[in-house]
Amino acid sequence: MDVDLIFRIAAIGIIVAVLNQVLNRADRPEQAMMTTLAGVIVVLMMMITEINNLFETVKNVFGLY
Amino acid sequence: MELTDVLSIIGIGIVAAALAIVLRQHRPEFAMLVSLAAGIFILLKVVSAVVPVVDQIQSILSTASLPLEYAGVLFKALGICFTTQIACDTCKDAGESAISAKVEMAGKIAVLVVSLPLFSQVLSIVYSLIG
Repeated sequence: MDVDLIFRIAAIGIIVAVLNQVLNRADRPEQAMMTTLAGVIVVLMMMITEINNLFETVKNVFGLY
Repeated sequence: MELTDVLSIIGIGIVAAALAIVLRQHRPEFAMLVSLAAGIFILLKVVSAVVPVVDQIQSILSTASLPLEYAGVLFKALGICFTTQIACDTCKDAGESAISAKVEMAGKIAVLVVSLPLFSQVLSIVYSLIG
């Protein structure tokens, strides 16, 4: 895992926040909600691999099978 | 785990906290994910630093001619604690203290199940001492 992932997640969060503001100003609340949902899913997909990585490491180090 | 590792963990922690504060005003869900990512990163570093400690304790136990399964139970409980702690803290940060309490309970039960054979061994020793 790289530190870049943290910055990438924060960047996605900022971009989604800006898009949300713009879409809300443009009177498109549903699309703003969809953008937020898409951002959350993208970040969750990035996180899931790392969570799996952590669990595998903990399993190997502490002998949990 | 050297000083440089600790310093990098400190830096990552502070930077991730600052990013989480910035994000929390607009998108609280991303603040939670940033803190989870930082937590996983730090925990991965810590767990990889624990490997020599595990080997050391196992060698100490083998020189004391104690069975290795005791250390196995100990490290299994430690691993369960590490993994449940990160889930528990993330749920608490997200404001779901009820889910956090359930995750904590699952971890406690898992530790109990892992350590119960050891407890029955202690009981059998007590029985043999009494009778």
